[in-house]
This record gives sequence, C-alpha cells and structure tokens, in this order.
Amino acid sequence: MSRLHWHPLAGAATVLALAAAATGLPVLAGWLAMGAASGFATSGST
Amino acid sequence: MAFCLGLLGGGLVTATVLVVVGSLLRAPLPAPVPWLLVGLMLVVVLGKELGWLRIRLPENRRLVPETVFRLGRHAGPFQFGLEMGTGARTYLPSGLPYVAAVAVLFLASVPAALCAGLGFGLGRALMTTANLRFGESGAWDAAWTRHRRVLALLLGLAFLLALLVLLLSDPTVRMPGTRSG
Repeated sequence: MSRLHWHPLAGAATVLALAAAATGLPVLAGWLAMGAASGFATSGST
Repeated sequence: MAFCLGLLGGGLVTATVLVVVGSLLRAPLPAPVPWLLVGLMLVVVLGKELGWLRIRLPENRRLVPETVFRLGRHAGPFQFGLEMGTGARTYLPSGLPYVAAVAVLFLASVPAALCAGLGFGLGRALMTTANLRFGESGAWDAAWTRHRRVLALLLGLAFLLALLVLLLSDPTVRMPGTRSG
C-alpha cells in the first residue's frame, strides 16, 4: 500500500466509514465503531 | 503482531472491568439516567476540547516503561500493547474514550462491551500500524498535528454517528413522536 493509505486522514476516514456502515448493521457494530473512533482518536502527541 | 494483539486484549480487559462494575452501578437507575450521564460526559468532553472548560480528566501521566521489552521478542510487545490497549496505563490525548467508558459502564451488555473494547484496541492498532508504515520517524505525528482539526471533526462525527446508532436501537429510549402500546 502507498504512503497515502497510512495517512492519519485515511485512518480517520476508515473509522468514519465503519461508523456509517454501522447504521445498517446490528447494534454491536455501533459499539465496535464507537470503540474504534475513541481508540484512533488517542493518536497524536500529548 | 504481538503488539496489536496486546492492544486488542487491553481493550477487552478494560471493557470487561467497566461492564462488571457498571452492572452494579446501573441497577438502581431509572431508564433515562444512563443516557443522561453519557450526554453529560459528552458535554464535558466537548467543553474541554473546545477550550470552554479548564478541567483535567483523570489519566495516567506516564509512558509505558521500556522495561516491558525485557520480557522477550513476543511477550514484551504483547505486554506493551496490553498496557496501552487498556487506555488506563498512559496518556489519553482525546476525550472520546471517556464518553465511550461511561457508555459501556451504564449501557452496555457483555457482548456490546466486548465489541467496544475490541473496537478501541482496533482503533489503537490502526493508529500504531499507520504510524509505523507512513514513513520516517515523526512524519505521521507531524501529519496528525497538521490536520488535527479535520481529524477531530471526522473522528467526532464517527463517534457521534455510532452513539446515535446505539441511542436509536435502545428499547428503553422513546423518541418524540413515537407512541407505545
């Protein structure tokens, strides 16, 4: 995969796509998406 | 690989602890209170992120010690990941995990909590994998800093969307305009 695939914006877009997909999936997908958004958000310097 | 597995394990550990403690805390609460608590935490985090509230949320202000790598080639990275994956062992630069924790504490069933914990570990694994593969050391963090506002917006949106899915699927919540019976 190219460098672009690993860009932080690509990661955030992936998480957003997961959350969007969760709207049409069983509720457990919503929990997974919520966890993924909060886990990925812990990036960045402190 | 061992590190990422550790991250997933850490998320599961925290989620398990939260759902066990939460099952005791939520027992006496009437139906709307858990969602009100999640909403309150969301408002606090939003206020903090926007700079309206000058508060410090509890976090372990330490790095995971490098001594964990003495455990060996696989066990060391696994423990490092496990400790990071709990979200309780080191810094937490975002407020979103606090809202997720309150949601798991007061709303989640056991399978739901495990999914949230797994998701948290996956999110952190995606972050660390992307960081390693993006390029030279520090480049990913620099890109994150450069786009931090857009990233906060995208991730906040993803989080709210997921939370909305949970809200709308909760049978204890009645939306305005809906009628029961």
